[in-house]
Formats: sequence, structure tokens, C-alpha cells
Amino acid sequence: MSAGRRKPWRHWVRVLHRDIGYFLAALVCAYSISGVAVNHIDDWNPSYRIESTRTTIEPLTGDVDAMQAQAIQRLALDPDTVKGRHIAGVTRFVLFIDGGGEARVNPATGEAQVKLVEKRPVLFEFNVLHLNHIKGAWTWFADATAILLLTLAITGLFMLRGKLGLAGRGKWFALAGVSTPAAFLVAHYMSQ
Amino acid sequence: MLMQLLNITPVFRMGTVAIGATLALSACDEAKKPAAAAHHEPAVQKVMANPEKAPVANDMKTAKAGAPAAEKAPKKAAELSGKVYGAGVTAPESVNIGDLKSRVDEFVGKRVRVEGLVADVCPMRGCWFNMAGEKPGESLRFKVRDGVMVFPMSAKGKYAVAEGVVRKIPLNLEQTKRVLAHEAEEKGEQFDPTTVTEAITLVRLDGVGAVIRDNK
Repeated sequence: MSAGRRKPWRHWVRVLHRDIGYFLAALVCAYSISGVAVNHIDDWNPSYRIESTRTTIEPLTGDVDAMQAQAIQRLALDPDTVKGRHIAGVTRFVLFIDGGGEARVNPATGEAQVKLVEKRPVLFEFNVLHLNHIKGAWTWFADATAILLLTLAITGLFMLRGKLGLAGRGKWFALAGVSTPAAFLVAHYMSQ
Repeated sequence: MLMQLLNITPVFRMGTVAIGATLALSACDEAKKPAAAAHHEPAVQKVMANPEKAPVANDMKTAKAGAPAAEKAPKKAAELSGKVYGAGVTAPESVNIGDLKSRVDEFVGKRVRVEGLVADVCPMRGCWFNMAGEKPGESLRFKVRDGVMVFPMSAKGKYAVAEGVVRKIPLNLEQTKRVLAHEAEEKGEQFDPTTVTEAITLVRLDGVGAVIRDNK
């Protein structure tokens, strides 16, 4: 083999596919997990876990400071997590709890609802990236990621040759990958 | 070592160029971003589809007196401390939420600045938040399309200064039930449509920008 022999183009296709694959492995995992989570947004909240409980306590009396202290004590709230209050109406005295939670009390009847909010660990961050909550420079990085994913898809088609390549068994998988979503689209348009 | 690595595979070179280009583009994006503006808006503008082009409502007091608006340099968004969302806030003065809602027809289609305690935030997509007025029960919703701005639930209980175009949406009874049902679903609450007997009119701000901070 001569020293100056050029490598075949397929060699570079495989190099691209391999190295882009390494680079994107973590992000594709994050995007995929977030995608499944957000896909089922009708069934659950993909970013927050919200725990809601209803109870009845003794009616609140006195001025606003007194009502706040009574509500905290009777609802067994951690005072350090209560960051504000608001009178939303005659029947709604609201305490704001760290992280987006709240305790809502009807001062006259003592009927109360406490909502505690917690970010879903890791999944919250995956959604922040996937749904571009960050904006700014991340938008550009996400665009670059999309281009790399496109490159990954195209290089994957041409990596192998022969019976394992696109001309061989690959064409059936590629055809299935196009016809399945196409069938869903056709069914969707026909149903409208 | 780095040079050897770069020579081993062209992908590392491409990756470095891609990342460098991304950072350069982002720098361009930051440079092009309009500075929190000390610009002066014309007195009247045609309302266009883009809410950023809507006319700015004058301060209630001066509008009522019929006197020209006071010559005040608009506060830059940077002078309002807090986290900036969207285009931030450029209008110099706020309209009272109670006044706005009681005289909504004077403000419809106009771009206004309001401020208040963040009483509630959309728990699903963070696409709206409610600001409380000065009187109990008064509130105004700041709304954007999904993803344009995303407000975290931790913003609840904080203080917002927000700017947007006032929109009035009269609903019929059926629409009212659907809207209230959707809100209850978002909050994970039960909703009984038979309790809704009157149609409502939604008044909200189609959001342009906001600044949210811990305290007033």
C-alpha cells in the first residue's frame, strides 16, 4: 500500500458519524428523555411535581400578620419557606412558599389548600435545554446540534456498503422509517 | 498533545470550528440585541400585528387632565433590577391595574406598563403569570405564546414590572366554561361547569417583556 493512497470517502463518513455520535451522545439522551416527558404533557407536568392537599384549620383572625402566623402554625409550614402573602379576595388568603408553592386559606371557614412545588430533578434541566428556556446563545448551540444530528442521520445512511448498506437491507429500514410517519400524517389529514 | 489530537481526526477540527462559530454568532446576537432603550416612541402608532409596535398609553393622570405627558427620560430596563424576560420594560411609568381594568376600552390595543405581585404562574409551560392589583381580587394576566418567554414557578410571590398590549376578549358561555376548565386542568383542580352561569370577558396583556425581582 503506497503512503500517499487516499482514504475512500466512506472512511470519512464513518469518522464523522462516529465522532459526532460521541459528541452528541449525552445531549441526545437528554433530548430523548425530555421529548418523551413533554410528549405526555396532557397526562402530567414534565417539569414540576406538585403535591396538593386539602384540609380544614381553625378560622384565621386578627390582622394580616396574625393571620399569616396562624396559618403557618396550623398548617405546619416551615416559616423559612414562606416568602410572602397576598389577599386574593375575601375568601382567599394566600401564603407563597418557596419554589412556587402556596397555601390558600379561607379565613372565615378555615378551608385550606396547600400546594408544594418541586422541580423534577434532572428532568427539569433536560426540559430547560430541550425546550430552550435559556434563549440567547443556547439557541445557536441548539441550531448547531440540529445540523449535527442531520449529519448523523445522513452519514448513517452511507456508512456501510454491500448487503448491510443502504442498497441492501438498509433500504427496508429506511423505507419503514419514512412510510410509518407518512401513514400517520395521511391518516391525520384524512380525519380532518 | 492538542495538536496531535487535532491532527488525528478532522472531526475535532470541525467541532472546534462549529463551537467557535456558535460562540461568535452568539456574540453577534448579544451585540445586536437592542439596548434597554432610552428611545422615545412617537405619540401615536398604528397598531400592527406585532405587539411591539402598538401605541404606548400615557400615564392615567396626565391623560385625564388632557395635559401633555411629562417630559421624562424613559427608564432603561437595566435600571429596573431583576431578571429580564423578552424585550424587558421600556415604558417609563406604570398604569394602575385597577384603573386599567375599570377603563379597559381606553387601553385596548395600546402598549402599557403595569406592575404588581406575581400571584400565579402557569404551572405547565410557564407562558403566563398573573399580577395582583392594589385591591384584593384585582389581577391582570401577562400572556405570551408557548416558549416565547418561560416563567418559572419560583416567580410566584415575587414582584413583576411588565409591558404588553392590552387585549380584551369577550367570551360566550361555552367558551367561558372551556377556558375555566382548561385553567383548572392546568392547576390540577376539579372544575364543575354547571357552576358557570355567566360569560366572562378576558382582559390581559399580550406580553412584550417583563422584569421580575424578589421585592417591590
